[in-house]
Amino acid sequence: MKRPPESPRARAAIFAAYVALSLAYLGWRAGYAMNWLYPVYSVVFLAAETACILASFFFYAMIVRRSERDDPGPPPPGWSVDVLLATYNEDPALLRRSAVAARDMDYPHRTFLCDDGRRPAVEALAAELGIGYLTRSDNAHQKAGNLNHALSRTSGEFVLFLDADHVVRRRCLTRVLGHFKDADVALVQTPQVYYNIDSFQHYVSPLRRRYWHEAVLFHHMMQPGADRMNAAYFLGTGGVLRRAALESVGGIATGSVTEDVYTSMRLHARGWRSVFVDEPLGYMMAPDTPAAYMGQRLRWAQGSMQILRKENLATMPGLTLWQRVCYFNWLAGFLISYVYLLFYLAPGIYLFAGVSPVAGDLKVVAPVVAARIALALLTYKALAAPHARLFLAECFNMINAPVYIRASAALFSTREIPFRVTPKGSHGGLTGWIFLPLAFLFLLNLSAVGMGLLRLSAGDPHALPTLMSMLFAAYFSVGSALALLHVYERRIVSEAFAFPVSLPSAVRLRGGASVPARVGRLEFERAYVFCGRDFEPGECLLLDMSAIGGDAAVLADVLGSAASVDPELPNEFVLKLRLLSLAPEQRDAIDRYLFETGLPAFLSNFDEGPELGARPEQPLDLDSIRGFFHVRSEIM
Amino acid sequence: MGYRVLVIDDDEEIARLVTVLLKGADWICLWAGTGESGWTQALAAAPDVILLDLNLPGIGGRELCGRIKSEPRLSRVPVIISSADHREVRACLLDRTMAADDFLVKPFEGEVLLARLKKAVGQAG
Repeated sequence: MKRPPESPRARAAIFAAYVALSLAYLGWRAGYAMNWLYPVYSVVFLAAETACILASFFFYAMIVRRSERDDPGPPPPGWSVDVLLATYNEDPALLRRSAVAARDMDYPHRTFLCDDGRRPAVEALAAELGIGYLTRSDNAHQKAGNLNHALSRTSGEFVLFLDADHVVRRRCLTRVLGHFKDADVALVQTPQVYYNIDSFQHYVSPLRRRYWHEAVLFHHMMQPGADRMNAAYFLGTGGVLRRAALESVGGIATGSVTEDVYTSMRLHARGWRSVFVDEPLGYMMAPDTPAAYMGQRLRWAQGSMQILRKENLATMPGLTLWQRVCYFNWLAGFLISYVYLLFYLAPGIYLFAGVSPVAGDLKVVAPVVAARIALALLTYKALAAPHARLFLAECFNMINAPVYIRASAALFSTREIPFRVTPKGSHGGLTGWIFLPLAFLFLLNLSAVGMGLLRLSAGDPHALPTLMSMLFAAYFSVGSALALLHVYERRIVSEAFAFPVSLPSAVRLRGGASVPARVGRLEFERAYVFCGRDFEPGECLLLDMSAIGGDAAVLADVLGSAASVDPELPNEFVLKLRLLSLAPEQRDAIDRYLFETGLPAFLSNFDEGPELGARPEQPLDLDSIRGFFHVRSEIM
Repeated sequence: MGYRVLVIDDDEEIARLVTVLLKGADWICLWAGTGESGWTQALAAAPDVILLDLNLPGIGGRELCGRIKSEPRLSRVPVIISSADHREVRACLLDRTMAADDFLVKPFEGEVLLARLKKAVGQAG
């Protein structure tokens, strides 16, 4: 519905032109623009540029065409399916949400909570929900070991793997299982779509209809691109695997903290096929603080380094050339941070020390370098659309660089790396290794700009390269400043994400009176409600959410209120309510509404969002919740 | 002379909290730990506002509220129901015959309680 029209030929032509011009640029750089006064720096910088351009070739080769799969139709009845929900230390309330959704999927299946934490509360939850509970006496091989243990205790022909925070939609199995009619298919993977759109990695602006997050390119461009090359990766959650295929490679791979990619690599090497279904069939939590985000990325990068150390992608038997390219792109992609780091330092090196990696006639060098940058930007904008957010991506490159550089030590280390579960819920904090590298980049580039001004005011004979370096330094200093601010602002999360909804409701008062209202955001613990009457803090009321179903008059008290500043709602108030009397069944009903109706309707509004092509039954007009976003900062 | 608030709650901490909150405001806080003693004190002391727990030993909060509102000497005294039992509070709100003037769900902020008490006596006045 909203994806921009794509012409495969036009995209291929853009890619071909990019490759040709980039190679020409590299040839020019090596032949005519080296600064042999500083040969080591100049060669290292050229190598970095070459690596960056090669990485972009791999990236564009993946995304230039994405798979367009026909709907395989529903699966035949009678297939046996197990759903394994892995947990270790997550809050049972969070787990309930995922477990109920898994249990209620429409294709017949068995659901198991695979608890590596051996917690009685989780066992009780499984019993209450009527699903299986599996645990073991140790935690050998961490998550991979947990899943392999569960596989040994179950027998379903197909297995859906889920993380503890993964809330699947009812139709998930029905939509993916049909692909297994092809007997060579071992894996059907779905994208990770995140519901907490205020997470650390998100940039979502309902008012401007902007939707972006740090992994959006991976899930909606790279995975569909890899799928075209039969190289879609297993992501550890939201993927269905054929048990026979898994058994052919010895189960879930151990020996890496990214057991998922390793497993799919082994499956591909054995000749099995994979499928990626770019449809939001479940929702997860994105890491909501910088600490949680960094921990997750560190694990991913370390796991990739472990695989790179153990497996030789060039010689590993069974993989096709494109599969090697895709895996190399994913596994070695983390190392590009070294290149970025050099780029971030280069303006400062020139402006403070006068050392440039480039030399030659300025009348040629300046326009060629500018053209090269323009080429890179325009190609990115053209081929990565609608997810091409260059500046945001740059900010996250800066945030990621120290993590990925730190993780690269695992390339040479045989030390076992503990599997760190990404924290969910209230947590946070800021450590020096998150904050200090960004602060250093900011200060270096800002002072480099100042140095450039001094040089210009002193009559710098090389004004043009000074100006160009200042431009880069200014760009990096603004990027690192925004990254710093973002890291600081999101350092702590104290409240769970409240879902944007537009739910007709009513505030019922003592004595039976009722005031029409509309829920604008909703979570288990609280709701934000538009209402034509103001209330005082502490006042008790009943929030009638019968639109969700059942007897949903929920006891609530008022935590705060603010007048609506939306000009279209001049007499409205936004109330922040504490929901007090939610029974487990009411929570389940709210979850069903949120994940089956409310969230898809909200996300379908974004031209760049994950619900592209979706046609929600009850679309949520963003205008209807604008007022809420106007006032939220006053009461949240 | 200040207002008098009668706290009828088997949790004496609530009475202590109210005493602390009203310190300096020239209010007097009275406390009763059971429904029966609460009823006796209400009749004897003629408070300006009553903070009434729902789950009391002996006469329950709902019944006591009804008695207070039926007694001509007390019927104009505002009664604020306070309880940690969400289902009971919900039932009270749904009960159209329930004559309480206000409801507070425990736990509550001290400032919120103070504001509700002041509003109650303001209304009564």
